[in-house]
Amino acid sequence: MTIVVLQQVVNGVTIGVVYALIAIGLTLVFGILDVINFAHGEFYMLGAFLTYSLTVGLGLDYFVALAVTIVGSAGAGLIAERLAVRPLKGRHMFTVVLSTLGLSIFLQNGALLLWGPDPREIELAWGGRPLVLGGVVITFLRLAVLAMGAALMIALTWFIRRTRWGMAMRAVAGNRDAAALMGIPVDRVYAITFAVGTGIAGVAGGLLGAMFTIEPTMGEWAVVKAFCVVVMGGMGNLPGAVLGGIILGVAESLGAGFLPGGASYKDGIGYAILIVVLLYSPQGLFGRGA
Amino acid sequence: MPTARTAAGVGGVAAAVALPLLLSGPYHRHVLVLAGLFVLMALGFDLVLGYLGELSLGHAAFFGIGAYTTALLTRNFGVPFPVDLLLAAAVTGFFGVLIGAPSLRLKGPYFAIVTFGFAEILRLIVLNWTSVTRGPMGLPDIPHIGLGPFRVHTELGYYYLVLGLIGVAILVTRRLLDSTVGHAFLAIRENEELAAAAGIPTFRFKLIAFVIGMIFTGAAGSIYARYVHFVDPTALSFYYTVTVVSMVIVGGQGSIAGTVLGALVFTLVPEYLRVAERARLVIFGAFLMAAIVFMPEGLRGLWRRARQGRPDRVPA
Amino acid sequence: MSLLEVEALTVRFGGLTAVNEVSFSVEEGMIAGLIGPNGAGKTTCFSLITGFLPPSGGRVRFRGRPLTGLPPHRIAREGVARTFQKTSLFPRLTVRENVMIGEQARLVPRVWPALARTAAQRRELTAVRERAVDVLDLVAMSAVLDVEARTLSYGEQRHLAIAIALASRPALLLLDEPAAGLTPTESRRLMELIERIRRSGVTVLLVEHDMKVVMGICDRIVVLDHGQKIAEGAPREIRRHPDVIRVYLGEATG
Repeated sequence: MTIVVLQQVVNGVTIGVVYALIAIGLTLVFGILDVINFAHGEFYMLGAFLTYSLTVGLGLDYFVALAVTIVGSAGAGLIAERLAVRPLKGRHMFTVVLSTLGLSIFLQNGALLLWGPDPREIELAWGGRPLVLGGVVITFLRLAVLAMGAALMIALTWFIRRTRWGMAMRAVAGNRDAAALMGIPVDRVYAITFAVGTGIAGVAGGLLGAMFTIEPTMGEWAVVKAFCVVVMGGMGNLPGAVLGGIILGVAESLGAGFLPGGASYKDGIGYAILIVVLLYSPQGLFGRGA
Repeated sequence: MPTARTAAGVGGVAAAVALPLLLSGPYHRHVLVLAGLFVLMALGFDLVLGYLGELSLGHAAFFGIGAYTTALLTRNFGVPFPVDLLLAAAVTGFFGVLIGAPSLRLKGPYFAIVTFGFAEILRLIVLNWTSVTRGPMGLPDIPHIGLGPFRVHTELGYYYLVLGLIGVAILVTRRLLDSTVGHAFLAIRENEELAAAAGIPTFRFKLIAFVIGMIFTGAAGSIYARYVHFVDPTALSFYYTVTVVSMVIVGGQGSIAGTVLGALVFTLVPEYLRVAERARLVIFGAFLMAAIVFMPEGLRGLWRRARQGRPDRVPA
Repeated sequence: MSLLEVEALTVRFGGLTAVNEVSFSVEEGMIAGLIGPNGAGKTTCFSLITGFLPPSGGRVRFRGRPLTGLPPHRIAREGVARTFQKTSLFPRLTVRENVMIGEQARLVPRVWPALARTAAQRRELTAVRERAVDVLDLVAMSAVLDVEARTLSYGEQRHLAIAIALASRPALLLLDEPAAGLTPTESRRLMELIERIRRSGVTVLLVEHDMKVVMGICDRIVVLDHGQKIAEGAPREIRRHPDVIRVYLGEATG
């Protein structure tokens, strides 16, 4: 019995790490730009398709493809920020929400046009090989996902704590006007933050895309998960997003495994958590942060 | 009331009544019916956004509740019109209280997200409670409206019915706004803290506006179910929420004319884009983004600027 | 029985006790002042009295009835109105509409009669409109009735804020730093206004830094420092009170 629970937990943590990666971009953008990017899921989706095109289409090595995907997704984010977010600076929050919603429709249907609705898969020869640790099975792919996810989070933490751009981001998150007065190019910080967010979302897409199927509407599913995690972790709170992602992943995994009719309501677990947290502790379980 | 506005209003009504008679072909009339339903939904949404200042992202759920209520009442119990419409409105109002009461304690982005969460949970329930809703297969064979010897079964008939409901909605909205109740709504939007200090029970009024707005939406859903004879979980999809939000924000919030204009634009544009079938929604998305960036006060703001060269003033 | 009785009012934020067992009372017809250096807890007291902040301890009574625990709009209905330190208005509504909203404390807007547009409703609306003009006369602002509030000058906006509070016909008016940012001429006009308000039957409690205003019109002064009451009395007693002088030493006041 414990083995079954442990197995679910391990599966949950793996997915949770990916949830965390998707959520990190969203919470970063919210904490620093005060913008809720409803198109965030679409960058995740585009990342998945990009990785797919590179590995299956061009035959690139999976990890190389992931590296290219980060750069590509970040680039797409820069363009999107310039077109859909920057012109709306200073206007009411709702207009930006709507603009990102428009962007989401644009990207999702653009992908539909380019790749068609049929689901794709990234088949990795070494991916399915299982590793058995004390009765718990984990595939090499999932192990790779876990490792890459952790590596990305460490890299991001280093970026924010140790580099000048990271410090600039933190300054803007704390007090935008003061940061501007001190000579920090706020517009560029916004652009870079957005790009970092979409870049990480893109690579998350590439990672999860190898585990499950890829199709143009997967972004919708992803952004909802991201919302749940961000709300749990606290808007703008990065470690909170990581913890929240893992908690969500494990909760869903255990729920699907043990609740009656669990599998079909699995997605509902996230919504339920989201609502409960918002109603009782809107600043998240771990409070706001940046 | 200034004569210019009355004239415009009368002109608008006349145009609305005459329009379908001038157009030939059921397809164009069909588009008008859809536009009318969206106008009704948008009016409900604008009550919450334009007059209370809160962005609710759960709109589609209320549309779906109205639709499913009518579907279940007519299919399983043979409930006649207009009883099913009234019951659909009542049920939607009930859910409005259920969802609004906890959600309205939150503001801004938190309110938006929690309403989104509630809406999606409702959609999941409708999708999976197959014993009642038949899940993704939906509920077909919803009967047309029969009122004694009268049957509403053409696009034209439905159009005038929807127009009538829109008239009721506008009447209700205008009456509310032109009273102390309406002033309370505006006060809450302009400065909620001061409104409370001035003696307005802000939470109660927010809930009232929310419920009334959702009742309009549920009514639209009810008629929709009758019109297309079929309801499935896609009626609760987020796409409808986005469409309605676009209509109100691009049309111009806090104004009836703006909402109608926005609803017309956003129904007609996607429909007539069907010629570019595959690229249709891509263009729609781009159009939405462009509209927001280039029309900060919405279509109505554009119109006012053209006429007066003055920025938009809030109608009280 | 005093109009307002504050008993051992306390509020704690985490480890900080912002208001500590403060007690005082305000008699009907009085103009009372609440003063103290920055951070003494004066505005916090206002927020506690008017229901914007729940107290950690103590009680507030108005006309003998308990006020503690009631939400702000109910307290407004009981007859206690306030202004805010940072000018708080309804920016895009006209001056007249701003004041009409203030009157809502006296009526209870009802939805069904509003929808039905009954004769009573229409009469009520007209009455509200006319009363608004009377209030604006009191604050000498009837010339700018149909102007949007956000276009007014700073001084006019402060007067409008007072008008909104007065529109609810309170028995007790709490003014939070009404003289802030005013020129000496404007301050004098403000003092006259507050006297007019008192003569119309409203009791006034104000928080203020401008000593000329405080000493000029207050009948009674309560002094706070670091959340605690350190003195209470008539202006000339307070002027000579050693603790008050000590606390204000180094503070530049009018």
